[in-house]
Amino acid sequence: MINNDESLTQQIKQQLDAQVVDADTRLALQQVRVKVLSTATHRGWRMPWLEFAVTASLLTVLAVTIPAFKPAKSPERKSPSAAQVAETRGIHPPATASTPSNNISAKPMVEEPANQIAADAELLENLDLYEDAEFFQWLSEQPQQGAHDA
Amino acid sequence: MSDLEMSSFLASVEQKAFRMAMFALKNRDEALDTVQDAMLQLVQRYRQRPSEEWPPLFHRILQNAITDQHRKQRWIRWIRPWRDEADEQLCNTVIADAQQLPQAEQLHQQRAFTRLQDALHKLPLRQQQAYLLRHWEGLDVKATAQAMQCSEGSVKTHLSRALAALKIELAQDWP
Repeated sequence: MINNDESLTQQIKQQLDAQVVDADTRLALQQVRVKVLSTATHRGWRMPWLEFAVTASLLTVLAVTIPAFKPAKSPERKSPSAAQVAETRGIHPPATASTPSNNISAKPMVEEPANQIAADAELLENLDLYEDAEFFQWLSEQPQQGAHDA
Repeated sequence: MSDLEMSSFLASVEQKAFRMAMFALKNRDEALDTVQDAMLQLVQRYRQRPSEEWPPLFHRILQNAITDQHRKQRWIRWIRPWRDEADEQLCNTVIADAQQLPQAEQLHQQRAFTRLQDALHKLPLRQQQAYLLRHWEGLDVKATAQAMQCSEGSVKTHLSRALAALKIELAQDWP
């Protein structure tokens, strides 16, 4: 039996002192110590403002790059064009309507940069819309001629 | 102060610091991390102080780090209750015998140490810290109070409660 607090304390201390940390842990502790000292030694070389500057410049580059990027639009239209509609009805549109579209589409798309291609595609779409509107206006103005042809 | 002096100081305290962290945290990796954090804080903040001030500062930083990690563990244990079993197994593999004793004596020592380890594990953290700092590390009551950032009266209360609990735990097994 344990007689008094002092002897218990002494026994516990002896027991604690009799045990040591195993070799792996000793090595790990040694590595930790070396790492801590080397980190503290090299800490003077670190420049906090440099980290901030690098992060800020990266964010700026991202902020400029991301809005410039546009996903590729599907180039083909599924609905028939006005020229095709007119052809099926046997109506010949005025000659001015078809020329710009043909000229633009004849250009090689591969050699141009991505932004230029996107701009051209947009222009082409606008031209098609304009062409369609012009054609349908022309068509509505000449109902009698269509009936006469039929 | 030179790096050599700091290195020799850290070498002198690292094993006891690790074992204190192990008693409290019961996890080798977390104990190593805690000791590393304490060392790093000491070196970064108090390297320029006189070397006589390092031991109490280191113990204060270490005990704070242990307390913080212990709080984190309680949350993790609440979220993952199955974690304890693996840690206990790992805990038993860390400590090895210091002396080259006969096998029977070694076995007896190991068994006694395991019981002591269990008894220390069962103590509440503050009682455990007070006991180890006062009776193992050998700090006086005032230095223990500074390391634990509490009053000397609190240290004495923790010590008497810890001693009473250890007496009950170890009375049956220890001669």
